[in-house]
Amino acid sequence: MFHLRAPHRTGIVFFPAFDWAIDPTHPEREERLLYTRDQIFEEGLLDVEGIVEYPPVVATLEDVERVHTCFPTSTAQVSPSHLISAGGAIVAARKVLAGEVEKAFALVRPPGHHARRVVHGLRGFCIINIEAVMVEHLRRHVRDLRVAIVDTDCHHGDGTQDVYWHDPDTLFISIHQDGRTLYPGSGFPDEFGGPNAYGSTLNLPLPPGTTDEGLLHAIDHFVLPVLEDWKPDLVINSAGQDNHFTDPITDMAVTAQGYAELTRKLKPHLAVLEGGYSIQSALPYVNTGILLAMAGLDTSAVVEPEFRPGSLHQSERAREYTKRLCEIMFDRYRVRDQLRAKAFGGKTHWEERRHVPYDGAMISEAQHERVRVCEDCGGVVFLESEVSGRGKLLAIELPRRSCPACRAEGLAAYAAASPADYRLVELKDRPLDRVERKGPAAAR
Amino acid sequence: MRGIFVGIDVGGTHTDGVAIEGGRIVHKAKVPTREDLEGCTLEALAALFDGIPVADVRRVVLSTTLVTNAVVEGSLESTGVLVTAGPGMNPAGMPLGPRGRVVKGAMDHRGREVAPLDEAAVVEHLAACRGAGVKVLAVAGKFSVRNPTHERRIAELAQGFDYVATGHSVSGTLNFPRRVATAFLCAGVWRRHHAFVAAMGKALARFGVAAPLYLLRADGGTQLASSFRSPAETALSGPAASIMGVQAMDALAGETLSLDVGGTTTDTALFTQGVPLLEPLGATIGPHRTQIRALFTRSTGVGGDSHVRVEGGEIRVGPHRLGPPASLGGVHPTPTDALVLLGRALGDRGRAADALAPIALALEVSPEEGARRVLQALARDIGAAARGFLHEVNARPVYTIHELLEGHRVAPVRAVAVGGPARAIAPYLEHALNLPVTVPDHYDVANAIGAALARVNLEVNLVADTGRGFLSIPEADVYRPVTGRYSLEEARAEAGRTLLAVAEDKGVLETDAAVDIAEEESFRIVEGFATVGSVHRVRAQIRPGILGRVA
Repeated sequence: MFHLRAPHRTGIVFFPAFDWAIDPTHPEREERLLYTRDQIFEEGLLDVEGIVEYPPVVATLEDVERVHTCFPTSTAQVSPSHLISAGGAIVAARKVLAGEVEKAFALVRPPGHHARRVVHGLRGFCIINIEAVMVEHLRRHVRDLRVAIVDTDCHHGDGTQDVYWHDPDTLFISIHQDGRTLYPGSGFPDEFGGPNAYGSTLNLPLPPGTTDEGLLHAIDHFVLPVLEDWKPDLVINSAGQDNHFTDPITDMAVTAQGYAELTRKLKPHLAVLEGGYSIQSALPYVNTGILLAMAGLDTSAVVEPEFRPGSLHQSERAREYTKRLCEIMFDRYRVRDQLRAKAFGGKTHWEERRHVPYDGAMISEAQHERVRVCEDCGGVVFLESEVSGRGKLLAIELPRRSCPACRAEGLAAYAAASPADYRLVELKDRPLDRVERKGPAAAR
Repeated sequence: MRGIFVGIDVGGTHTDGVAIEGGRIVHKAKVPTREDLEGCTLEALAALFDGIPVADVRRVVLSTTLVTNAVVEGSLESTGVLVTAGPGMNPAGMPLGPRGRVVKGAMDHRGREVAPLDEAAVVEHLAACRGAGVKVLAVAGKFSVRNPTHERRIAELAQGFDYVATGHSVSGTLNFPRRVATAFLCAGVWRRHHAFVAAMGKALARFGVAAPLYLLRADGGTQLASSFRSPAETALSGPAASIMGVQAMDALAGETLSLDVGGTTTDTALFTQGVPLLEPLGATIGPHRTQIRALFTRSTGVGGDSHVRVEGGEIRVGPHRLGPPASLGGVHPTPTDALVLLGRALGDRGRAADALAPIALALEVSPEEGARRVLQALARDIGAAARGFLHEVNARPVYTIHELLEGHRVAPVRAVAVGGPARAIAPYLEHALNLPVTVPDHYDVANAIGAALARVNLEVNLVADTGRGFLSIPEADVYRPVTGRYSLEEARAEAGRTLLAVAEDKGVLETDAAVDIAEEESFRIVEGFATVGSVHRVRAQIRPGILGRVA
């Protein structure tokens, strides 16, 4: 009596890191998940038959280095909190892949979706990309997987986009508040993936003020049709909760009901907490809604005390905009191969220069990226990075399934790179799961 | 610790009693347990009081199976259930039984009223319950431990009921479904509990015993029988009794596994630095998961009287008991018969050999080797259960980086075994557990010793929310305003003071019981970008413990 049974066996890794903060007044501080814990414990959610709690593990530096090039070293950038957060995501995923649970929710902090391949410091509250560290761990230790990451955080998941920009086996979809109005200022429809993975990065910037209706329209009319076509082995939801109408640092109007419905529609194998800083008014309810929805339990009573029925309206203009955007984006997705041929046909290499700001570290990084246009693999990548005053680094990345030509070009470039020109030269030999480093910063 | 301390434990097969004076057992009694709980308790008391000066008895502690029996037999009293639940899981999905109703009214996670109590609905349901002849009531609200106002108001409205169990009074911890289940059980056993306490009180008077009557609790603590507000707390006192008995007979340095090998089950528990581990969420009683503070123990269905047979070339033990062992008048073979055959226990050796013959035959070994294999199989199953138990202990989640990184894995270095077959099977257990096994002198009455010597123990959970300006200590029914300056230090001191005051209501402490701050945390409450107060949380406890050791 008095207890419920979950129709879908669901794992949860709950790691609130009550003893860690970026700094005492930062939104990413100790009590961020305090009220969420209270709600989850009081609901008895971890007591429900069919909801299984797992403790996180500590991810290894090898797990981190498989994804990131940390400057000067990973030990200098990564703290135990980051390793545990990533470790929590890894545990959640392994339990799903082992068949112990159908789905799992990594309710962990700190978040990670603003962390890019190269890490010079804190960006958007993130140091390492916990989803990417998890996915690459799985691909190495469990099996090669075709993965879709659907990022529903209110901020563009620019870090995850960067990590998977050249990976044709990872679909990255980000739905977020329009970058013209919010950090990090990116995530526009023309950000569509690198030359060898064109169309496997998809961005859907929604207008400020978007409600449940707009968000769910995007799921129904864009995300689900794309997933249906792309057929991933694993669907991961980067479950930021800052689209909530009470979030202090964003301008969206989504409710806990909206999040629950999103989860029901998306049916992710894994949800990983990202942002969300309305720690009293939103997180307890949104997290409860997501977990209940994953487990197949009734979410109809997950209604925030601050919610007033009829108070959140989608404007007609925003509705039309979102509808049109979904149509355009789905059309672009469908003809991605033609678009790719048009953009990159005949080129041997593609290159781009960009500046990457680190809001948390108050620095800016200049990047020069060059990738071999390749029909046979993700293409070897040469990524030069420099933060003024700190010296230059070169990261050479061989894709997981490198073709012989890309591999040869990458290895030759690594051999030729002179430590005199770089503080650090790093070779990510993904097929062999090996990282080689040279240069003054490489000595640890 | 002057005077005689009497303990009685009603077990599945036997009811044991001991009288302890000055750290020595001065008298023991053992009678078979019958269905008539009162009857066999009285029989054990009579046997015990027959050998001691009753005027010197200082207290009598009973460990009974009253609650467990009521649950197992399905003889809980018809109980009206009233719950309030705010945002979150839908209470409509909660199976509340035929007399249950959800009424409007809600608190949020900080104890702020989100929706006022629908008093009209409460009154209506109370009338319906009265009309159906329901006399006891269980009331529980989501987040009532943060703000008990609605629960208290419902209790006020419930005029004419014999007993109203309010969820917040039992435990200050968070878990709404368990709170409902706990209040429900308390109400359901209340009348039986009172009848039993009254009958025992009269019986003690007849024996000329003036000493107070105590009952053992699931957490291995005792409490005056007359002081129980939440009588379901006496559930599962059997396993608790033997754990406390182990504590009374062994120094228990480091990490020690405790095994109570009974007739049909073996209970596993764990001591760390001499203190038994507690359940993180509360006791599970039959199908009911509750918030009742309880020792962490797991039971597995093998014991000395378990049915033994060969299946697929392997010896299977339990989980059923098919009557007494063959050597003691039964029909089916048991581990006890194996002990009798090997000359390690008393009984009819011929009957034991007859009963075990098919097993030796199936394994194609001598009767003696067959008997040894039976005991190995029993020890194997106990060892597997112990490993499962340790795995469960080590899988308990932690929520801070410090705890995760410093996380200590429990790995006991020895075991203590008690219960009837303990001494005879100890060598087999050592082999199966790969640990040294100690069997204390009075291993056969460890449970009664535990009952006799258990002390009052309890916990209180204080939450002070200076932003909202309220403080609650549900276990003491404290809910009062608090100023913005109230500090963690004050919270710690108040929790300690309140703990001792509540403890004194529950009985005589007898010895100095140290107040232990088991957990504390303090967070700033930030709204917008300003700090508007603090949340201080303190869990203070008197740890499960004993009054003194037995020689």
